[in-house]
Amino acid sequence: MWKKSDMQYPQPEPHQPSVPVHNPSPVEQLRERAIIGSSITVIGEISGDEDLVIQGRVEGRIELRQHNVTVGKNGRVKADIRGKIISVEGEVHGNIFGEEKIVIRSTGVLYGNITAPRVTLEDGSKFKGSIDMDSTPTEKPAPHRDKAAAESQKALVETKAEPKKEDDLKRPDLGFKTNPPVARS
Amino acid sequence: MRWFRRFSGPSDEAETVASSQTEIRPSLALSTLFRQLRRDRKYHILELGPPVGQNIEFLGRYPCRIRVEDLYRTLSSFDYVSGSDSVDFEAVFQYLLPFEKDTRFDILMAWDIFNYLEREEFLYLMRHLSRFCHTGSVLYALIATGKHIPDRPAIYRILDENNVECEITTTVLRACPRYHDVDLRQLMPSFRVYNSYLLRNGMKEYLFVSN
Repeated sequence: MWKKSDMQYPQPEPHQPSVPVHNPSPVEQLRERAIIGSSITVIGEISGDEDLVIQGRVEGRIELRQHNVTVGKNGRVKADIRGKIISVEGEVHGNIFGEEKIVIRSTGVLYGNITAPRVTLEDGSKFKGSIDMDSTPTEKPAPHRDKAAAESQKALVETKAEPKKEDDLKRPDLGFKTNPPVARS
Repeated sequence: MRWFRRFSGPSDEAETVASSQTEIRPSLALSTLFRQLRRDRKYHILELGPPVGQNIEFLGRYPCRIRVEDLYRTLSSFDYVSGSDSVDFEAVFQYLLPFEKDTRFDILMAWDIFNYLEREEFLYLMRHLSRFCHTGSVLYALIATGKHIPDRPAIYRILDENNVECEITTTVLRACPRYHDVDLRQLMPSFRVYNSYLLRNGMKEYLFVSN
């Protein structure tokens, strides 16, 4: 039986003031983003005032804090990247800093660290590194994996005998120091 | 099982199941862990499993830094072929898991990776990891108790504080090392069992705490 309460009445749309919407034309869209084509290799620093799509190779540094950076499927980047929204569909070796968001697509490969308020990893993506979801991306980049590897190798003997530091005790206490409860099965 | 054999595929005596499968199961150990987390503290988490968006999203609700290592893939792709049995596992793990000297993890998510390690590998992995833990660091692991396990680790997705989705992506089975509590005490001397729960599928889930 139908109940009156089950019936859905269309609700009148609340009145919204009309805001002029700017729909960029295809020409404008093209102007607003730069594309590094698949046969192009750039070595050095990239900065600018528009979005960037990388289909080629870049080595060095990419600094586009106010703009989006997309590493396309064919893109190969060996650089730290700073951008607003960074999307990785190709391969990146380096640390990436997103002011708003970082997306690693299913085809994406990232070896490096991520700092962004929001991070999306699609199933199938390959990633090795750290994810820091602080609301403000840090200025100081975390050491790159290779550097950390070298340091780690060097520290092999040192860390072996090293007692735990005093400040370890100041680490977040997860409350697991008391006697454990009886195991259940 | 040495490194180069990890790739060798199913052996003659390997068994198979009908199809790969996905199931949702409650996790008492994880709910115990997540209940302890606070939003006013920042945690350093080591994820030894593959990068799973849902897990990153879930853990990202807490202030944290997550280190993703995907250990099984790393081990599988590690280009090490040798007929010699004298493998320097200490150096291997230093190379494969290169953490900075002052790194200290608060939480380690091992999932079912230990079932895919031989005793020696397991021992040296834990020795390596314990250098990067502090007193009270928590390790979550699933240890298989049955005769067989899937040929490669499952993918685990945290659905909420109490439930996990487990996706087994292979139909091939392999023999299970069946680590018992006694073995775990020997292989993980710097950790103690905080609690453990036997699951219906024969897996035992553990929360370990670093001494």
